[in-house]
Amino acid sequence: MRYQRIFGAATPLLLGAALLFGGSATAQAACGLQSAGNKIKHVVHIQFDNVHLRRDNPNVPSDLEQMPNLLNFMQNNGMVSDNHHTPLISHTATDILTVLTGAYGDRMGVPVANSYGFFRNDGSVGFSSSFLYWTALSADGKPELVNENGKTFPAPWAPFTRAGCDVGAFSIANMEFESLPADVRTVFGTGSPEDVSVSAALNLPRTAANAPARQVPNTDYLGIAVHCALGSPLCSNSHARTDALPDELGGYSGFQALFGNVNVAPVICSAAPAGCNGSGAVKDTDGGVIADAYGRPGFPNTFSPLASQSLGYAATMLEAGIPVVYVYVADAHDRNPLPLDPATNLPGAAHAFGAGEAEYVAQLKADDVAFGKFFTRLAADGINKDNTLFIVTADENDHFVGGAPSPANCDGIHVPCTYAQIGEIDTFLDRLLLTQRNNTTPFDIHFDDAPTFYIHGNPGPQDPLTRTMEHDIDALQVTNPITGKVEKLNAFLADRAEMTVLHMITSNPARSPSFTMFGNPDYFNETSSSSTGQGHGCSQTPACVFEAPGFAWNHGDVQKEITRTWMGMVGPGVVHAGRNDQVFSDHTDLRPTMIALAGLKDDYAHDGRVLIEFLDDHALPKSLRRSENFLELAQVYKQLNAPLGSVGRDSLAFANRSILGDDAGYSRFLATIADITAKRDALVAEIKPLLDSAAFDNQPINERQEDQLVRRARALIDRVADLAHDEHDHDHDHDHHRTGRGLGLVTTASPLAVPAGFCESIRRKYDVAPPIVGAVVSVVCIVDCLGRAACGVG
Amino acid sequence: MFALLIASGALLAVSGNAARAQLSVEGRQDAVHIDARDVSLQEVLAALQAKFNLRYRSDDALDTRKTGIFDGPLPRVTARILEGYDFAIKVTPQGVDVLVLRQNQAGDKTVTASATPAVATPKGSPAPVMTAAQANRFEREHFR
Repeated sequence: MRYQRIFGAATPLLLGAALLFGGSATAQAACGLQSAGNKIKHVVHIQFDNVHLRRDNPNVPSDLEQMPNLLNFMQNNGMVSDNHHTPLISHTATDILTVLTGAYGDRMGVPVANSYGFFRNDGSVGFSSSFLYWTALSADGKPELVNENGKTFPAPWAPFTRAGCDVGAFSIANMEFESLPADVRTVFGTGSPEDVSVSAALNLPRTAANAPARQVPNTDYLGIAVHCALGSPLCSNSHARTDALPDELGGYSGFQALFGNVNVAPVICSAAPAGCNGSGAVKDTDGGVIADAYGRPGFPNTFSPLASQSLGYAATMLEAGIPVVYVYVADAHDRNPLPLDPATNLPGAAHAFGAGEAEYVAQLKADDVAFGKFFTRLAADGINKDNTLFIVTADENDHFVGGAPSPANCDGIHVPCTYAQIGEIDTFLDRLLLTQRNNTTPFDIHFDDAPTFYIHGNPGPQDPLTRTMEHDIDALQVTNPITGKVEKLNAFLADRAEMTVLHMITSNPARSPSFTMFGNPDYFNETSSSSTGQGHGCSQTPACVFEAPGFAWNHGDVQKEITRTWMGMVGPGVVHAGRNDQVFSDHTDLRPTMIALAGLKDDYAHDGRVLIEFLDDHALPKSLRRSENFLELAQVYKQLNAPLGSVGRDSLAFANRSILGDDAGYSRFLATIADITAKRDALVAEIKPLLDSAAFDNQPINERQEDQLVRRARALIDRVADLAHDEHDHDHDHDHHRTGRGLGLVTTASPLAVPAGFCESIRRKYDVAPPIVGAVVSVVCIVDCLGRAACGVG
Repeated sequence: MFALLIASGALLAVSGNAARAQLSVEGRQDAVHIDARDVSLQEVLAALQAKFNLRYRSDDALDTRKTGIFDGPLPRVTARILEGYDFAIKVTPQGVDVLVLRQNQAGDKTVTASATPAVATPKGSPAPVMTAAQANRFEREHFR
């Protein structure tokens, strides 16, 4: 009967087998999540870009405060923590991939984002995008997500699909196509019909008339995928392709996936027609069609989806029977979508907002409305906090670059804020080095406020080229065009030894930068080109330092306002803790926590740990219930191993001071940090299996073993703290460095608490820019044994 | 058009031209191995019907030529050989039913096969190399 009906249909026959043979509106595979009491039936992971829990202006409610439908959902039904951290560098792709894998960049291959450099054999430098499909080969020829064994890191969907659960992805990093034609070639093959067609469209001349046609491949193929369980009806149709994970531990054969809206929409619209219009286009939470700028249904734009779009697609996926959904939602502090420029027929120039600006507030309001509709719609579908695990986080916070708002008392809600000056401050580092240091060493950087440097020829850490470059970079000073103050660009340098501590060195040596400058977060550092004065000093045009109004929210860097982000969880097994900032966590912890709650297991050891502080005992294996041993070990482990834990932060201060010292001192540092790293790694190698076995194999942690490991870990943490604060002189400022386990010798909430005259004396003696000292509410000063010092915003 | 069963392993010489067109269907239902060389889709489906009792229906001539090696469970192998068609597969304890609707039409999808079928090279080409400035432009256009 159904055959006859389909044969007689006049509409395009893109229906999947689910609708042809299924008896219900949904087409769910037999999803076998093994949560406690089998309460979790769905997993919804929502990944924000740069949405803030904390206020950027004390008068203006934060992003989340302006989204009460989401914030209250988390606080009233689960928990929200502000004590959650990124890895380093703190940039989108690295952060999201860390969330997805539970592994730091050194193990999942992408510690630098959103693109990274690599050395060719001849010492020249190329760059590859950090956004490529999971199994893609990087431009350096190695797997994009290269793990410690040189293979592609295990895919986050594999435990779910193996358990019979389909997994949907919308705009989340690297689980779907990110770049064309590269990803079409990875999955469909170079020269495949899809590649031929996509490449033909992308190669059309860049004219205004061609803009819609050039966008078609992106709309059809980017940003959307469904990874199917074996035998899933959603993939038993002509839209499905092999879901190849050739490096997956334990093998992964016979699985299928749907790639791109062109293949996903027909299938989910067949299974969940209410989420689509009559032509098979998926709708947003407002009922409008999710479409590109030219009206073509599909992936809406270039990885900047509105909440209404991401959540609309997610809801339709869930209604189609896809029980596990990952979605990404763009930030609200940039204009989105950008109107088309009539001259080019392309999106116009980027435009950033400051806190409390009317358009920013309106975007947050729209996002909040979308969340309200999303939760209401899911509840009507029977998908709610009682049967669904919601995990929500933001990739990173960021630092606002701009002047003060007007009026000064604006709150954005009743009195809109406006900004006379807004926008990151761009620099051309190569021209500044030429002008201020007469340094013409060829190099490239990843453009960022935390640029990674790649010195041509790939000299080693102790090579004079590298040492001189590091010292010269640290010496650069510029005049801030917003404040008029003279200030340094460098905050902390990390050489390869320190980047190893920070989990930034992958198994592919070609990807290892010469060093990283974690910089002043007001600045976005670039190198010049022939059109921007390459080879010319800064007395010539264009300027070496200038304000760029399109972007005003910097990240990548190490400062707390960037690296301290937030996370929330709701669902079976999650305690109703409301707002709770007591537990240090970072992005690596979300994956093991999610997998543990779902009753599944990954084929690898996580770098994170299960956040049992936020979980009900009944949702945990016996080995974790009221386990003080686990808690104590897990908490000290984070301070030992997390890039933003004690060892990571303190070693960075130690490294910066040592790199900028003389060669003999730097040699001593290399020996010391190598010893610390070896001891840290050895301890981590003992602790991680214990934490994972307790969480996933119900193996309790032996108290005696735990005590011994914690003691060793604390000793190492204290050793690095002492080195950070003053390796030769830590007795006579004992109080300071015991209270200042941050980035420097003294960390206080107020400049008044800094010892009288301390920073001023440092400023006089070592010429640290005076405007920094005492002009801020929090001051961090770093002093080394030679008396070199820096003071800055804490 | 005829198919000649040459061996119990289901090596078939088709279209009366064994040198040019050849089809081998082997294995079990959960591990099918097909080696096809320039045979029509109808011939492949017929062979699967003969060996595995796969049932199929279509109004289409199913004359698309197939060349390649296909391995896997019967439903998956069937789906692979039906690439380029709209189809539905029903898997039941009794066997596999296939409804082949028609070849993908231009307009059904944005991406359709080119007039001269392209031969896909092995997958795994590295992503394009960029300069630092190109990478930055890509990042900023990417917007994340």
